Amino acid sequence: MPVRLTFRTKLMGIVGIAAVAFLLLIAASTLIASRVEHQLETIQRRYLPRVELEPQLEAQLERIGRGFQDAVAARDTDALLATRELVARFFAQLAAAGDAVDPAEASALRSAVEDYYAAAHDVSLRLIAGETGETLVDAMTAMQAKQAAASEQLRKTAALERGELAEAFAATARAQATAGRYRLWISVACLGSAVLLCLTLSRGLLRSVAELRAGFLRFGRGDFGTPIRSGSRDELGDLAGQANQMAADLESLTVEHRKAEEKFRGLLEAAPDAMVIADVRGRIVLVNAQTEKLFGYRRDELLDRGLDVLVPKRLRSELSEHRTGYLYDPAVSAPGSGAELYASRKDGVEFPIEISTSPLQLDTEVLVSSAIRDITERRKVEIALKSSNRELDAFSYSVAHDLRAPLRGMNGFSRALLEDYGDKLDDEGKDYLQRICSGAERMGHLIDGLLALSRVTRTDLEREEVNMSRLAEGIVTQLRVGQPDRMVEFKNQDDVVAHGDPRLLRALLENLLGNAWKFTGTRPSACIEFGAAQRSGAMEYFVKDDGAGFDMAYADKLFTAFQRLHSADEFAGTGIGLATVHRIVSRHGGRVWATGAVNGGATFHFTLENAGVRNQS
Amino acid sequence: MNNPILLVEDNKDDELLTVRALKRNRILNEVVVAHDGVEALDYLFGTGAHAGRDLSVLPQLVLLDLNLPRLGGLDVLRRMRGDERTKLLAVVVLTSSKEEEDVVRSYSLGANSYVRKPVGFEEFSQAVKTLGLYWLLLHEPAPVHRTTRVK
Repeated sequence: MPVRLTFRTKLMGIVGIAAVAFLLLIAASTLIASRVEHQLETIQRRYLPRVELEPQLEAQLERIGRGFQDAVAARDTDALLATRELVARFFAQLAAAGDAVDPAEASALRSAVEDYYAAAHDVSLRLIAGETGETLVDAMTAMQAKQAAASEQLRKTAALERGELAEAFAATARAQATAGRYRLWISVACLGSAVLLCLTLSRGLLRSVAELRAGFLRFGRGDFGTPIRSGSRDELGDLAGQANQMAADLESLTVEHRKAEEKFRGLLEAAPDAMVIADVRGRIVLVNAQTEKLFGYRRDELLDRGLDVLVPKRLRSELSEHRTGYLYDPAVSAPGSGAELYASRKDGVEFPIEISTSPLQLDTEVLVSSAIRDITERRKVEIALKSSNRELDAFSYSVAHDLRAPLRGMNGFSRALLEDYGDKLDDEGKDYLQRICSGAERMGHLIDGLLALSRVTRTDLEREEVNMSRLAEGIVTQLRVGQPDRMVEFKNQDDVVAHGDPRLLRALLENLLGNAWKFTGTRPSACIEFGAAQRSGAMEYFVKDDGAGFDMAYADKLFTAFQRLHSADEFAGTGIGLATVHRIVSRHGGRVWATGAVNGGATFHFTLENAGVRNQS
Repeated sequence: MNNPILLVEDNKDDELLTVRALKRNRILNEVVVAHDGVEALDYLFGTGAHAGRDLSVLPQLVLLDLNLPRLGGLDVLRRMRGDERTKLLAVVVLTSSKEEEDVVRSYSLGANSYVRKPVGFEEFSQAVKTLGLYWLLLHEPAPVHRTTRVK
């Protein structure tokens, strides 16, 4: 594993080297300084005392000589004693010179001076005593010789040779010069190595930075294939590694993004409708092939243009209102549902459309996606359907009349026969006629029921607020008028309202309340109830009775036309009423169901709209 | 003294049954029958087959079927209400079904009442009552006796 050499390490290295060099410099300087000092000290100790010593000692030696002469001249032996002190002072001066004097020489000087002193003292005493003669002269000569020897020794001991001092200074100067050289060398070496290191470092740095820059430029262009060569093992190397990782992540992200986009575009293009995606200001940002086909524009002719280019000129002011409408109410898919919308082709031809709009919430903005469908064909079918409905209408009407006419004849003449010739018929004959009458009547009801059922499908649904409670009250009042001797309690919840077609809702309640009335007919007293409650988002209405009820096993057959759960003898009926109820409820987008038990009463529940959403059928 | 009743009806059975019902209800006015809309208008305005008829004799009541050949009942009604002479005639519409549209259109065109076929006694007297024609049409011998007795 390669050793990491971070910039931190490298910088620390440079600083370390500089510090070591600095220390070396200081050490060398100190060393040299101490050597120079030593030299100077030597000069001071060894040579400087000697500069004064020779004349001093010579003067002292002379003073000693003069002391003897004075004592002899004064013939004073006491004065001789003083010369001893002079000698002592001589020795003191010599001793004071210390290391500057060679000890052996000093010792030789002392003995030479002692010799001279002893000889001079002896001669001086003999002179004071007045002695003369040969021996004295000899002694004096010997004394002079000793004096000369002492002088000689003194010079030898204390004399300072010029060469010696010069040599000492020269050595000092040399030492200083050497120190300067060392300093220069060390400085140069330090500087050189620092410069070298810096150069190396900066070269590496620049190369890495250049590679990084080139790499980032590549990544910026979307070329993630070539990673940054991260040769260096420093922070820039790390950076390059991280950038490569990032590039790899980005690449996979880009690939995913591209795939998602391809998928999105695929879906968009595959959509059977013209898909137009616009921003909040109504600028078209995306369209699919269907849009080009439907509107006759090329894609590039639509992009960046306002949505109103697709709208007929006469309708353009409406668009902006609608558009804001879609944005604030995402639940609104078909604007102005029921209203007929038109779009305009590039050649100005208008065609009817159906549009469903939904907002696309992106991170940064909201786009509005519209699916536009050409409903020209459907319009044609609708028109055809309307005309066939009209035909059916006419057919139903004529059926009502033409079928009813012979029935009326059968019924009317049977009744006339009964009334006019009843006395000529026996009971059996009357019964037969009665059966003809009731058969004709039942068929009349059947025709009425079928007509009512077809009317539910035929007529347009026109919703408005309907007071169901009032409607129910009116129907029950009519039922009471029809059978005034029935004992029926009617529990009616106050002010139940519904949003629906008033005529159809009347038919609905007439059927349900009529059923309740009919199926409680065998009871001495009965209770019928109408009410409503809000349940799971939708209003749930109910009609309840305590009559004959039904077997829950057949609950699903209740709403099928002509299905009857009771025989006609038991309860009259056509089997169409509940089918009509079912159809009315379906047309309102609701559902109907029943609960009950044989002889336990029945409850019919119904809703008139889907939970939350009003169904336009 | 009693003006006739104009019955506009194309169906023979219905005609017979209606005439019978009127008789049984003691309405003894002459019943003039027109078998389609055109014939009805001819009678009312003295044209066609009824040209030269004394137009001072207007029917006291018109029983008008809606589903008629040639000219429909509603058109007859419209023409009647558009003419000064027949504007105020009592018209009872006879229909065979409870088609709500027919009822609404009849009333909006100025029908005075509406009776469902076949003409039953109850329904018919109710219509006549609301029209205020009761005493004119119904030959009720009993009240006369009663009145005499009170006198």
